[in-house]
Amino acid sequence: MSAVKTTLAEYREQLKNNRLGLWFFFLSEAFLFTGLLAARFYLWGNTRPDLDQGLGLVVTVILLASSFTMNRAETGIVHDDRERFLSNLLVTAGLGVLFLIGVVGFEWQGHIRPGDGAFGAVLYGMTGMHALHVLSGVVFILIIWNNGRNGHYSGERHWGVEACAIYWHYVDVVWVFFYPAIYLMGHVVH
Amino acid sequence: MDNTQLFMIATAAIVVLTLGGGVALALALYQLSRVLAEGAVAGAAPTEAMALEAAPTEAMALALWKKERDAERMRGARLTAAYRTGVMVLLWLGLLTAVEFVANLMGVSTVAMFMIALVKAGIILQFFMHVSSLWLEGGSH
Repeated sequence: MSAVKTTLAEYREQLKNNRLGLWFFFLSEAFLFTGLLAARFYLWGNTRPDLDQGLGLVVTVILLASSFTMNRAETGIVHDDRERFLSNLLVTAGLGVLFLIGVVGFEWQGHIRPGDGAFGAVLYGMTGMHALHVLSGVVFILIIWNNGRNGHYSGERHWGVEACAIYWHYVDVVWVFFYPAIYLMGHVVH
Repeated sequence: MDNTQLFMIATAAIVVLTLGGGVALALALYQLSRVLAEGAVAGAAPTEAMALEAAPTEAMALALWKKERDAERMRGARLTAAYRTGVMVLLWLGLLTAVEFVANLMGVSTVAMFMIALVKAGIILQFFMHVSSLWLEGGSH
C-alpha cells in the first residue's frame, strides 16, 4: 500500500495502468501455457494416456466452483459486504487446496510416472506448471484475506482484491483448456 | 436392451449427475458462506416494522428518510443482481463442462471440444475477469 494518500480520481487513473499491467502479465503467461498445449498436441497427437476420468471431472468442477466463490468475495468487497468477502475468500482457498490434493495427491499417484516418455513428460509438465500457479494463487488469497481481516480494502479501493480475483480466474481459464486437452481429446492409448 | 439404449441412459445419467453435483456444490457453498457471514448480515438488515417505527414525521425529514431508504434498497438490489449473475455463470460453466464430458464419450472432434473450451473461457473473461473494464470508462465493476 502506498505511503502517500491519493485522491479517488488519482486512484482510478492509477487503476487503469494497474489493470493494463496485469493483463500484459497474463499475456506473457499465455505464451508459457500455449507452449505447453502445443507440446501436448505435437507429442501426443490424437492420443492420450488412460487417466481417471472421474477425477478429472471432479477437480474441474472444484476449480470452477472456486471461481464462483472468488467472484462472490470480490462482489462482497465491491459492495462493502466485508463478512461475505472474507468468508468466500477462505472457501476459495480451501477449494484451491482440494484441487491441489486431487492433482498432486491422486493424479500424480497413478500409473503414469514423469519418466514414462511423452505421456509422462507432458502430463507432469502441464499439471505441474498449472498446480504451481494454483499454489501461488492460494498464497495470494491468504495474503488478501489477512489484509482484509486487518481492515484493508473498501468498496472504492480494492485493487489488491481485484488483482487476486483476476489472477485466480486466469488460472481457471488455463484449466478450461488443459482439462479437455489432457483428459478428453484423442483416443486412449493403454 | 441394446448398446445404443445403454449408451443414451449412461449419457443422461452423467449429465444429470454433473449438473446435480455442480448445483449441490454451489448451494452448499452458498449456505456455508451465509453461515459464516450470518452475524454481520443479521445485524445489518433492519426489518420493515423497525424502519416504519423509526420513520420521522416531519415532511423534510420524511423525504430524506425515504431517499435514504430507496438508496439502501437500490444498493441491496444491485448486490443481489451481482450475486445472481455469479450463480448463472457457474450454472453455464457446469452445463458446458457436462456437454464437454458427454461430447468426449460420443467421440466428438477435437475442434468442437476446443470451441466449447473457448466459449467457457469467454464467459469467465467477460463475467468474472471483467476484461471490458480495460477499455470502458468508469473503472470499477
